[in-house]
Amino acid sequence: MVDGGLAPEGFSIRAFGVDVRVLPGLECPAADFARVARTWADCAPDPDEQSRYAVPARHYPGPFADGSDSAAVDLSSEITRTVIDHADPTWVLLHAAGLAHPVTGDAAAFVAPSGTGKSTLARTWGRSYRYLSDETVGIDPEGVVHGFPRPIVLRVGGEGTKRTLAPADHVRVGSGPAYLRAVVLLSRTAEGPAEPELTPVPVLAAIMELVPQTSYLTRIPRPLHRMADLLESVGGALRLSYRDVDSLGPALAEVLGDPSTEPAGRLS
Amino acid sequence: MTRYLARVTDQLVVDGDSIVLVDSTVVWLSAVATALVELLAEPHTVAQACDHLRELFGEPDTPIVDLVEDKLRTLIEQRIVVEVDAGDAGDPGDPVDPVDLVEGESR
Repeated sequence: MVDGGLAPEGFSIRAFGVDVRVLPGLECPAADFARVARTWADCAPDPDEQSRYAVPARHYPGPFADGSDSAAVDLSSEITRTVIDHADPTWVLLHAAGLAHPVTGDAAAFVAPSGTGKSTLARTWGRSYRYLSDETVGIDPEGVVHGFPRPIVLRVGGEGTKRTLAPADHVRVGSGPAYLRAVVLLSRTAEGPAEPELTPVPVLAAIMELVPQTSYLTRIPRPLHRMADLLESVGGALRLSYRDVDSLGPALAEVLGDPSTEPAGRLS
Repeated sequence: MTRYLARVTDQLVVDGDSIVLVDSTVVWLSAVATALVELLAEPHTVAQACDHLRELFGEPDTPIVDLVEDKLRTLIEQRIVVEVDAGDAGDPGDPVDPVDLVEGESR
């Protein structure tokens, strides 16, 4: 592609086994398309990972006349919906931030409704831990956690203007398997404890909270039992009550291990 | 005689209580409602339900038939239980379609 010209070619992403090709709109300048392609680089297809489904190509029309990045944000939302719609129906797709220990691959899903702390947690602690997602994680029947490092959306300036950025420029995006070790229900409030608290959540109460944050649960046979099995596999759900994301270090170390040290006795 | 049938996608029982998935909704059931819904995996009458609950929980302070009818009304309102005719041996109705349960910008 040539800067200032029209973008002739597209790029591919793969998430949750679903392949999506993104093509430039007819009027999309090549430089803008190249910038958007770069923000998706962490979702480039891994040759070792199997593709199970390819959907029709999506188009990025280029930035709006006012220079805002809303088209890229819309594209991100559309691709997210697409991969969730076509993901393997045996996977549990949680509306969750995902972090993993950079050495062991032990992973946690931090579940919360939109706007209640997932992205902030993932972006803040995704520099110390391995960043899997700030939005959705997929858990396959073997307990492997699949991330979705789509572009990070940031609000810039006033008026709610948004920009998309490549995750790898801001957080630690790695490769290799990640294994579910914890399901954590986030509870961030201004009245929350100054010292974050981790408390167990009874299984029925946990599932009542998890179901609204689960995509296509009814595609899974006996879905409530599957959720119960998943929680049992990690020793039950935890609630993380806190006020300030910067204070979460000890709690995250309790859940995932200290990211700066390799656990004794584990082979790397 | 009217019989009643539960039409839940899934039911998970823990320590007597349970949660059930109906269409796209999860509902928490008390121990009595849990026992009733478990019984109604097959069609039963009010009298049969009374016998079942009496056997499990003993005779309540209020007339058991009132209790059962009250529970059934609530379960029907929540679409967990449906009435079936005597000759309609347990048709559970249309299968439940997959429904996206998630709210949020990206779903």
